[in-house]
Amino acid sequence: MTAASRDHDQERPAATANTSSGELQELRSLLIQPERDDIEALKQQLSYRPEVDARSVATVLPAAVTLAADKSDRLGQAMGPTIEKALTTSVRRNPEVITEAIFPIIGGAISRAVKEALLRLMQQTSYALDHSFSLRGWKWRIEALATGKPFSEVVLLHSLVYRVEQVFLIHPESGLLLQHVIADSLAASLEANAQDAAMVTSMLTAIQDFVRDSFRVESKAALDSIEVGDLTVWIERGPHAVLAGVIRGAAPLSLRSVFRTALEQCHRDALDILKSFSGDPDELQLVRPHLESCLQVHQRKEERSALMTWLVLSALVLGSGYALTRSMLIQRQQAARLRYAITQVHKQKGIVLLDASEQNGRFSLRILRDPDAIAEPELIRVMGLSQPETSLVTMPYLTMEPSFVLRRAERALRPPQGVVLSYRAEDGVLISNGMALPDWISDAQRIGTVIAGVQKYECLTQPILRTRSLLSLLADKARRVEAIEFTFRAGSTELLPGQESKLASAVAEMKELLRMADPDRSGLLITIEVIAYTDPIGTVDYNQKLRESRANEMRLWLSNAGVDARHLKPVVIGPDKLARIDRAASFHVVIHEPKDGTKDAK
Amino acid sequence: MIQKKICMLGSFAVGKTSLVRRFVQSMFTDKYLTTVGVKIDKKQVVCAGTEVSLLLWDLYGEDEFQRVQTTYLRGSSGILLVADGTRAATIEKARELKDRAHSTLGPIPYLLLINKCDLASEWEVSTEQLLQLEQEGWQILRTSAKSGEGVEQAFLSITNQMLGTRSP
Repeated sequence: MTAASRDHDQERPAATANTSSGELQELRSLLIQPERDDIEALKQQLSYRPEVDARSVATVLPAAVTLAADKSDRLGQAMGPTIEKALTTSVRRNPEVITEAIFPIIGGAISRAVKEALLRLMQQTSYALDHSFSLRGWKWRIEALATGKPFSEVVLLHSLVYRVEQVFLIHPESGLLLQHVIADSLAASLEANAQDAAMVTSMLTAIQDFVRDSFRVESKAALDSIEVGDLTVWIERGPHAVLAGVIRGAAPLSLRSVFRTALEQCHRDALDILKSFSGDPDELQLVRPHLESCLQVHQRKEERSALMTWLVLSALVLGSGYALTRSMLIQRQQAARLRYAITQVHKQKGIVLLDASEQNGRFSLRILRDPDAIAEPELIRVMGLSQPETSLVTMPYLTMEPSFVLRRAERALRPPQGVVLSYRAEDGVLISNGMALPDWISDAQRIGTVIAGVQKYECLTQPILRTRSLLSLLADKARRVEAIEFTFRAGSTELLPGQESKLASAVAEMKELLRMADPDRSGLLITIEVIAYTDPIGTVDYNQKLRESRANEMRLWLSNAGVDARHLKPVVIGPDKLARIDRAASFHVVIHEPKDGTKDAK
Repeated sequence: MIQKKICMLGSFAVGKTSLVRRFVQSMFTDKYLTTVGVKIDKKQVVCAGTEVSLLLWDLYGEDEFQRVQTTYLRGSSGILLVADGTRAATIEKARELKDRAHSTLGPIPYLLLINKCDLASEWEVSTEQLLQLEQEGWQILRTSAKSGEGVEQAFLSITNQMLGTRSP
């Protein structure tokens, strides 16, 4: 619209303008309303509304995923990390879900792996057996010792037709290592050098380039194989990867097709990754099974008895089983012995077991032991063990067991005859009863309370009252007894006639002496020694026997006459200590202080 | 671990082999350089938390009798150009080698190492010459095979360029 026409419009009357505007509006809605609605819907779709977006995506997502998966592996690669993360999270949160999901396949996989391992063992054992006892076998055995390789490996090497030891998958342009697999039997020895594999593949690529450049061959031509001693490297080239297999021995040409197939499978499964290799070999883990299929081994087949192999294997299994069972039985036996020993230790008073163990037939025990408890050698015997197989570590300790407290008190106080100690466990009171000298009573009161386990010492012991006059009277009476003498017939234990009257008087004196020294009151004990003598006639032996007979006879007469025999003691004096030489019998009185020695009546 | 191939290029006797000898893992002897014309070493670096294994192709030095085999350059992710600071002509050779590498490989990351920086008294390369190169977009590091100066930094710098990360 031009400026002139705009001016012309402004000059129209207002009424006409209103009518025209309404009609125009109606006409516009009739002509462009559907388009306006579409524009509005598009605006709504474009504005950020998550629920609408989610709904739209949900509608197309399954079809989009299918389409993307059909076209290339990019969707798989893109989703890989997310799925891995989701799996890791799921396993961490609840491992059972994944466990249940893979359970149906994992059993089969394990059983297949076990079967393969057994077959390999069987094969190796079979070869080792074939050559174990032959001259060649001994030669190989020496070789195994010299090289440090297992005998079965040496046998395998000598029986080998060929073995693919390593397979490299190499990036053709850069020589970078894409993947590397090693034969199981060599894994231990070669894995240490596995990190050098990248340098090896680079150098291999460089050598190929060198050969190609040096001999000016066409650009697509390349080195197919390299031979070095026992080893051959076969190289298969693909558009985006090179496969190099290291072979020991003479491989058949058919192995090349195995390599080629593996290389094709690698290309088929990981074409996009190979095309734009980023330098990360982990992205190519998926091709490892194809490379592992190239790790083939072929050995010379020799006539041998499968039965023999099975027999030896069975013998090995049985032998191992026997050894295992025996070892288990011994272990159980030793465990039972240890349990018995522990039970026995627990039964011992004054012993506390700290710990006990058994290892390789050696029993080790640590205990706390009260000095009054069972001695260590006896304890070992009670436990049913022997000294050589037992290590017993003892640490001192004092038990509060009543019998042990009482024994401890008896050792500390040394109560005299006539005193009885007892212990009341409930309140820890040590009680002494009976009669003792005042000195012992005061010592006991001093020591009694410091004995371990004794809370209180209660002294119910009465002091022995021994006066000087009593001792004097006893001494007089002893002298009177000692003055009595009897005379025997020559060479006989019979008394001379007229001696019987002396007997009654001697008995009376002795009984009086014993009555006066009543031990319950004085605490003194009396012993009357009966001593007999002989004349010089006769041999020394004869006279010695005669003196003994006379002393015994005299003791018998006196006890029969009423003297307490416990106080009569026949004493036989040897020929060198005889105080007199005649056919007499006399007496010697000994007054004992209780527990602490004797006192001669004189 | 990511692997990257790097080629080391330079004139004869600029010190390429000596420069890296103490810093890399080797399993091949220098004999390969004179026979095959290349020796492979390995160097592991960590760049922005990423472990990278650099496969260093140490190419035989170019002189009037022998040219660098361009087939060895194929698949390289980066180039370390080495020049001798005491021989100005080696800079020009580095420029020529860079151009040849780029024409074979396309524009890949590169780094110029001016070696023998410990021999300051015998230095022939002028500051103006280096400034000129820097203005042309060259990244330059002074290195010494004798003291090891700048060598680790060179590996990190070229790795950063290859990964597209920023130098620490």
